Amino acid sequence: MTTLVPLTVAVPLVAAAAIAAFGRLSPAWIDNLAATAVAATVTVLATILLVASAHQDTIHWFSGWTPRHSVAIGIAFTVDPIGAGLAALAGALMTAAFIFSWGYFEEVAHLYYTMMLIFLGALAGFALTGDLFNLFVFFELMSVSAYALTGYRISQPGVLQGAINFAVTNTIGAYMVALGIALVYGRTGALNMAQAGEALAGKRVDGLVIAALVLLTVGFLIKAGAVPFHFWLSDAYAVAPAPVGVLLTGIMSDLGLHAIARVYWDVFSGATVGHAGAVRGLLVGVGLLTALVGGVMSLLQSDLKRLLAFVTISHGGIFLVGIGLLEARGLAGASLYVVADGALKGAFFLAVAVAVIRLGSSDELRLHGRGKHRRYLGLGLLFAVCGLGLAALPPFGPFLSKSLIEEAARSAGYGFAVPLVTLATVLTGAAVLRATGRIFLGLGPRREPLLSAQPDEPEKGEPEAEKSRRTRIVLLLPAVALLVIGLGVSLAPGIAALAVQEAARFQDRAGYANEVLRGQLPPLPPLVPHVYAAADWAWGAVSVAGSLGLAALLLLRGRLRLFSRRGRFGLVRRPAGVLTAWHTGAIGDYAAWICAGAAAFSVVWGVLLR
Amino acid sequence: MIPLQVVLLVLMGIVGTTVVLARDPLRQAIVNSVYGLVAVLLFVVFQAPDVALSELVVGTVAMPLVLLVAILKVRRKGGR
Amino acid sequence: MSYLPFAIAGWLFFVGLYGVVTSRNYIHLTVCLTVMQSSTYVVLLAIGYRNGATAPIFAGISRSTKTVDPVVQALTLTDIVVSVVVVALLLSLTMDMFTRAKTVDPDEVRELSG
Repeated sequence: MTTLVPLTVAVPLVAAAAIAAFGRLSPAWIDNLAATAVAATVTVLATILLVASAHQDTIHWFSGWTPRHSVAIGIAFTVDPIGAGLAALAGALMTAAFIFSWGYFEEVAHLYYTMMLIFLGALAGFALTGDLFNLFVFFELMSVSAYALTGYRISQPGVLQGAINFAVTNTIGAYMVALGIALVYGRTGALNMAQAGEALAGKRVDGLVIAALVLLTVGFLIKAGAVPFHFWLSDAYAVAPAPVGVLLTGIMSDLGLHAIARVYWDVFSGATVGHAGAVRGLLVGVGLLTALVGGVMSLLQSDLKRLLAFVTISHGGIFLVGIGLLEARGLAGASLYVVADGALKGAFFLAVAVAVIRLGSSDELRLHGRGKHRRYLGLGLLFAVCGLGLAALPPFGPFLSKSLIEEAARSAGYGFAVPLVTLATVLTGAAVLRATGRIFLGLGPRREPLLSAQPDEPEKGEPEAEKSRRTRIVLLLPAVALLVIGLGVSLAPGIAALAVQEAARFQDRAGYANEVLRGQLPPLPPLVPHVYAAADWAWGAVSVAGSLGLAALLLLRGRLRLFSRRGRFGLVRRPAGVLTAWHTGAIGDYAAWICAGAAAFSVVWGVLLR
Repeated sequence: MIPLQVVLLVLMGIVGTTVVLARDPLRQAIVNSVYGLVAVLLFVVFQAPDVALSELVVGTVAMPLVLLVAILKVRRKGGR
Repeated sequence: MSYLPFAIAGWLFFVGLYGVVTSRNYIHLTVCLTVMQSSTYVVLLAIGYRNGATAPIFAGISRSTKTVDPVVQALTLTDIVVSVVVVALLLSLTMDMFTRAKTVDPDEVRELSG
């Protein structure tokens, strides 16, 4: 079984090299078929690992360098179900993206497949590795391939600026991660996470450990797009080609959060155990801020891709709340949410791309009423279901995940987070539902001073002509499949209880270290059947009703004569204006925000963790 | 820590600052190759000859070369 | 272990970040990023250094000879290679930007605000 572990990463990387070498010789459809097959293989391999690691981590030591006298010498991949699940999600999204690009790009160079497969290998490796420096290398590998893919099919300065902002901010993040890893290595002499955690456990928390924790956390938060490090994300995801965007919005940001959970629990939790409150407070606070800022910003966008980028930011904040609560149910909820939401966001990104192809724009206002035809019924339904899913419609995937996070919040004394998280899903759900209503029902005004429209960009490099019927099905099929995964994940029997059990195992640092270094299996945490509380249903209902209500209010306020007087409208417009004005698109501003955010993290943890 | 290391570390700090403060890309490229050279010496006194060799190639040859290509491409077309 | 390398590394990181924040030219900005990056290898080498140790080349030395930590040097090599890739990519994006927008000033390209 352990031989499958390196294959999950090696297969896409070798295939990428093969396509780079021979892709020029073969016709494009062979490249695509091969790449699709590889992505599907990765999905299957990761799913096998997910099942196989249910009760004990699957650990692979490269070249057989197993630990001697419980000291790690070699490099290990330690696969737990959460990491394997993320790798499987990456594979599934990549498969969908490849099937989609079948009908999407008229002609793609074989280098596109090469970079996509390198990206996939890096994503899988990042999710599976148990070694800090490995983590950094895969971080950089996935970043570099993602920068290149974002700038793929370059046609406008906007795309280039998005790619450059993405590259510069994430590179700064990568250097922070590298510095943090260097400090951990300097203190512990270990790069293996379990070994470093053992060395730090029970020791006093001093300046060096805090600096390492801050650098690693901020570095990964930049990747995750948490406020105030999120500015690059809305730029890059808004300009990425659709198949790439699926991967970016569906998995890459969330892997940053996974890395924070991984590094915190495996390396630092033994040292900061007495100060868990400070870690929890800051992470949950940043998560809530991110969820709300992202939610409000998503409501202020008229470009659908950019709207989805802010949905990604907002929901990333919710995941951070779940992880930051430092509770098994919170982590379980966040992990399930990543899968459910990742599939949904991927489906919505593809749906937007289909709208661009068939309706001619990705701008909500320009598309006003253009989808009001029986022909576009399927696409409209896809939009609506995505919107309801993002609003955490019971009893589907996002609802289960959100409930788990809220239960964790209530039991950790963070009950006030529940209405705020619900507010975030109301805002993001309403943003998507409003767009759906405007495009497919022709509701609402054509002009909207509140929305920040992007400059009119003809979507070059994307097919303009209406595709044949067969191609249209190919375009919609992956989105529908992702939608089914995202919504259906909660319907698997006992999934919540299993997720909580695995999350508890994930958070057991000593158990993990014993398993990796000494081969001793820790006792399995108890499997407690999950029962929804009455409050879960209530908040679920509030979220869906709120989303629908807010979307209706925004679309029909002219008819209802609400906000029609200039003065009342100004109450909303001014703060919204301030918020949008911060998103300047200038890289210097973003770097300054990173500096300020990192300073805030250092101050808070520097004072509270000692 | 031997005195040579202290000297080179301080030099790193000073030349690094100069690189940032050199606003004209061409001038900066030249200062940057000096910076690469200081880094090479630093690696040597920190007993890392293998890193020094790769930094020698990267910092003083490859990097200035790609920088010059970029600068020339941007200048030739009458940019600022 | 002395604090000087860490102080220098911190200085280089912040000077580089200052350059990125204030840069008016994408090429200049890219080089400032490499200054930030050099802070990582100053830290790495300082961590691996032992007083009086030789380079970690194990041919022809006795087993008792002290060497500096070879792991950090491997990390530094990886770091350098990765950074060259990033620089090359950023410069190619910059050149494309110049062909499209006729400028390399981040403040003049305001396509993505709001």
